[in-house]
Amino acid sequence: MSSPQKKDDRLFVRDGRRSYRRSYSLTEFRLGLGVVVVLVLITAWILWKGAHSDPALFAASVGNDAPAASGPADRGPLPPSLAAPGWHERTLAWFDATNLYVKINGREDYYKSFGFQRLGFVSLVQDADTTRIVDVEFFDQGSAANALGAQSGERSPEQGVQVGASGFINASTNAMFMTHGRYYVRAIGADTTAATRAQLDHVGRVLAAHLPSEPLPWAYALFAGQLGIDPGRVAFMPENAFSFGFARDVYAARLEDSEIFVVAAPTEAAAKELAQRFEKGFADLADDVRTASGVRWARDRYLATLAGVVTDGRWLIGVRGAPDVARGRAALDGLRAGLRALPSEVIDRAFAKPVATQPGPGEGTAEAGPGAVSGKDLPPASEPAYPEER
Amino acid sequence: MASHPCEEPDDVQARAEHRAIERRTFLKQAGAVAGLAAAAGWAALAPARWPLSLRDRDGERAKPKPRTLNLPAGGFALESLAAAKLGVARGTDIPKMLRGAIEAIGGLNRFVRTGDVVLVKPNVAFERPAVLGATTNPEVLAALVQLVYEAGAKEVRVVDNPIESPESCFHRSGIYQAAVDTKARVYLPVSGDFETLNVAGATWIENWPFFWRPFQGVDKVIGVAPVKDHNLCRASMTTKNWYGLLGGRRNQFHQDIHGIIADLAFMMRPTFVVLDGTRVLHRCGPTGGNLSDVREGRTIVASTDSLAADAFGWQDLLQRGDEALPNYFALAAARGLGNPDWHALPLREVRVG
Repeated sequence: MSSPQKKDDRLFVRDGRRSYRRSYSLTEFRLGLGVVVVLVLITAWILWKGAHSDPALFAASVGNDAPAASGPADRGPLPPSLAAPGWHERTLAWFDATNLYVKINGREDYYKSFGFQRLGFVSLVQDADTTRIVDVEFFDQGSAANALGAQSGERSPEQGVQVGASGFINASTNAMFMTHGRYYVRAIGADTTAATRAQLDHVGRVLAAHLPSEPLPWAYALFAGQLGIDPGRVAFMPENAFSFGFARDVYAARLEDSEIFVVAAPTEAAAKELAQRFEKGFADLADDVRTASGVRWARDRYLATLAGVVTDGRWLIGVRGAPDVARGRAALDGLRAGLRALPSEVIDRAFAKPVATQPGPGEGTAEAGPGAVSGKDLPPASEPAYPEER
Repeated sequence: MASHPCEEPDDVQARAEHRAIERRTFLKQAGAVAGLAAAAGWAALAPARWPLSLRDRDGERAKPKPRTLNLPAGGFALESLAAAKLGVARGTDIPKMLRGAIEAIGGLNRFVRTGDVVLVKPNVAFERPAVLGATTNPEVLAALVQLVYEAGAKEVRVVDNPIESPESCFHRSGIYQAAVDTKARVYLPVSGDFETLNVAGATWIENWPFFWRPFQGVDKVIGVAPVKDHNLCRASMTTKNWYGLLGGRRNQFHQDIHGIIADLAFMMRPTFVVLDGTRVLHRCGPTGGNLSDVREGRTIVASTDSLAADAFGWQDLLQRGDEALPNYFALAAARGLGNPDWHALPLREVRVG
């Protein structure tokens, strides 16, 4: 027992420790022990199950072939179903610029460089054979020019296109790639069977009938309409054309032995300034630069071909890869003549507004007004819809 | 001390002594309280770098620090890069081609011992069927797993971290079935499988989430990657294959794609790599989609030097020998992580039909 002196010395708990429960029951002890044993057993079971997971669980999650839930999910501009008879859709998923990489990974920058807005992805599965799948990637690229640009960049040079009312279709043995207005669609099958091709064809027809149309970019009236170039050989580069950071909104077309290109500058002074930048850019890659026929020609140090640009009012026109001055000059002259022969309405469209400011969804469709270029105005392509298997 | 007239002298003295005790007690208690207050004030307000300070204005100090882990020093390589060789096998019989390519660099028994736990890292990045060339050929994976078991491995682990739906990617690519058929163990990533890996000296991934769980207890690591075009870095082969072990928001590294690939070479020193050139996705990589962008390569390459294998793939399989190598080759070679001049390596080529 502490003395009064010691109690006074204690600073905090003046009355010392006190036990408030001096006994406990054996029953409580046994119950507690039982609880501990149960907890240990549960823990052991969890650890064992984690190390020996049921493979059926994996198969169930992957082979989940239940048809997509009915009801109006957000289908955006897509029709109610893309599945042909005998097929069904899986769940539609949407991706925007913040999560496009989840689906496309290292290739996301490619679509973003063409004005990417959002991607809809859905798999179509054949009822009779669930291993037969067609994946549909539905890109909203913001404008017809961007959609066509993205498609042309992914099309091999020797592959032609079939001209539709509002875009182009090119097909391979297992896939179909189409543009329709601002949309670029990639439908990819896993095999080359007739059933897969039929589903691919169905996707193309349904989308062409359902999606809103937009006029083709004005440059198709020039290259395909005036100059008779296969529309599949026309490309649009919204930025970084020819790896020049200053080169934006460039339309180009591949000829047999060279490439011609055109830019609609806002003013004559801007066109001249842009021409100087192109000349400097080509000169940086050249081992020889000389003026001939009124054009400053730069000879590529690796390819030994010629590149040159001229201006015609607000137009900047150029050629790359020309074998010699004569053919380069002829290409430029032909391009200039084609521009001068364009209807005024097409010219107005060329200088109307930047490609990037096309109306978005819900902001009104792009009506086919005066000067609009439709696929019907273009010469039909000679390529069949689907190449024969070789 | 004044006293009451009626108090006895003893009582006065007792009262005086009691007051002294109370004063002493008060001083002790006051001192204790002041000391506690001073200590608390120090802990709360002293600058963070001072001893015993607990100051945490923004809450960062209180956050639990993730533990960082390291791969073994020297990685999983068994020989120096200076001794690297290149084995090339051409043909159509995949198991024979693979065996021929590995035999050309010394044979699998040189690399795998009885009882080893071997991790095989294919490319399963996309939910694409194998014919489209965006993922490792499952036949090559199956042949490799079988060879590794023949060499006496105790366990083979097949590992990748696809960004979207790992189950779907493994299934659609055929990799899961190939692994299951050959008794390999597939590791599908979940969030708890990742730990922070320290790669001292790396530019982008000095401390970065890494798919750690399957690496526990691993003795050897073999990469097996397809030959693909890539729109950012121009080619995706064995060196870039290690990208699939990273976690976190790894897409941000696309801003310096060549730098991150060089970092991957720094991070991972595999036992050897297999370049799967049975199919070549020569356009529109890395995702592909069009069969016309895929051509038959009919080639398998094995090497302990990833850069040399990739350089061979660039020139011979992608057929871009007239173009300069992508920048990551120079960045990685400058750090001594391989030799892009594959001609300088001892090369043995076999044809197996």
